[in-house]
This record gives sequence, structure tokens and C-alpha cells, in this order.
Amino acid sequence: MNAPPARPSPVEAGGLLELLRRRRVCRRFSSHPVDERRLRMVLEAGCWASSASNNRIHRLLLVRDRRRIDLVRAVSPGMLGLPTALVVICTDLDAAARAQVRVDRDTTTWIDVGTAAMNMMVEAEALGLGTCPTTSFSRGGVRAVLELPPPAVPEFVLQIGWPAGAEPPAGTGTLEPAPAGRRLRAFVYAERYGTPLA
Amino acid sequence: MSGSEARLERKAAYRLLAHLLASAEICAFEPGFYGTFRLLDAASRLAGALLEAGLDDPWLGRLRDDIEAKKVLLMSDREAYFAFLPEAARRMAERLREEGEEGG
Repeated sequence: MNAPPARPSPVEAGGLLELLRRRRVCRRFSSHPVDERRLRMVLEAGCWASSASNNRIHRLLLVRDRRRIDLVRAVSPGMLGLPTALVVICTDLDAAARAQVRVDRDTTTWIDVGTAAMNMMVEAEALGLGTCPTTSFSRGGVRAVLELPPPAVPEFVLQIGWPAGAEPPAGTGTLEPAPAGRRLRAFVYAERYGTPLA
Repeated sequence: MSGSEARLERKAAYRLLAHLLASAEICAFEPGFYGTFRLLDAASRLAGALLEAGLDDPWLGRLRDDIEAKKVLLMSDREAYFAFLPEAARRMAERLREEGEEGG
């Protein structure tokens, strides 16, 4: 049997490995906001993560409001820095019920949280952004400060921002964000759970 | 108030309380030694809040800076991190003693 033809890749494998090697947790962030275009690329990377049986029971909540980030930090001892954006990965219990996923017994749901987080961290690294994964937070506290509805269970908080001392590239603020594609519209909420990305 | 006093605003106090209560919740299931980190971090936050509130205390500023620098050793040099815990407690105790002596 002939081997399938190799697919052309826009990413050089050695370069990707180097990116994975150099990625480190960022605990000190600059106060410069991250532009919409980069944030959407990070979010889309999360949306393209593997999902057990393609069930897609997780949702990504983007938080950029400074006051709400500060509140999340207050109930998240694992947040040592003050990023300019957060992505909260939530299990959506309604989506889980529709897919007949037993979240209390099915460990693949945790794996899916991890793959989404890693995709986002790698994409952020490629964009020059800093990230810090956070699991040390009060579930009830994050639910309360972000006013999450009962079906939304916060599982993971990804801190995103420009690393302290790293200035954003010139012209960053003028970049037009790409319109939200199907996946972004389906799986990403902005500021409030249930509010799709525009 | 003089520079030797500081009044914590309710907002700052609430932030610290939220941090302590959230830490208590997660200490129930995180590795036990993380508890040392949470307390160390809380000490740093309290020191920072007092300094931000106007407390004129260079000694406390240095202690806070040292805690900030050393606490992250938990992730990279655990031996140095654990060596810092008794050092920090000793420095605080010595400061208390000096304060007592100054106060007569």
C-alpha cells in the first residue's frame, strides 16, 4: 500500500518544537492590553483542541474587564500576577447532558480542558504573549464574581497578557480583528457567560 | 495618622480576606505544602496593603520584597524555598522583639 502523500505544513516542525521548549509560565504582566486580533487567535486555538468523541462540552469565557479580573484574582490564590485578559474554561453541564457525558465519572472531560489550555498557551507563545495556567481558585468564588449560571462550572483560568518588560509591537492596537468564525461563535463567550463573541 | 500607622481600606481588607478564605478552600485538596505558600503569599499581600496604605516602614518593605522574590522558589528550588520559611519567621520575631525594646 502506498503511503499517503505528506500534507504541506505551514509550521516547520523544528520551529514548533523550539516554541514548546521555550514556553514558560509568566507571572508578571505588563499593563498593555492585548489586541482583539491576537486574543481571537488564542481563543480559536483553544476551540480547535481535541475533544473526546467531539462532544465539545466546554466553553471559553473571555474576560478583559479590569474590575472583573481583579475580582477573579481575589478568589484565586494561584493568580500571582495581574494579567490583562483571562480565559476561563468552563464545563457546560447542559452541553454535557445533551452529549450524555457523565462529568462525575468521565475523566476525558479533564483531558479536554488540558488540551484546550495547552493549545491556547502555545498559540499565545507564538504571538509573543505570556500565559499562566491557574487551577488554584475557589470554584464558588469564581462562579460568584463572574456571575456564572448554574450549568457553567469553572475548571481552569488562563491568564494572558504581555509579559512585564515586553512592549507590544508597534501598530498592534490598529490591527483589525478577523470576524468571529463558526467555532468562536459557538464556543466562546465574551465577558458574560452566554454572550457570544461579536 | 503618622507614618507608623496605616488604616486598611475596607476594599483592601476584603481582598485579603477573600484570598485567605479561597486559600482555606483549596488547601483542603491541594498538596499540603502548598499551604505554606498560601500563608507566605498572604503575608506578602498584607505587608503590601499596609505599605500602600501609607505605612512608613522600610524594614517591612524589604521583607515583602524578599518574600516576593523567594516564594516562587517553590517552583524551582524547593530546598531554598523551605530554608526561607524559618528565616522569614525569625526575622519577623526579631523585629517584634526590637519593637518591644524600643517601646520600653
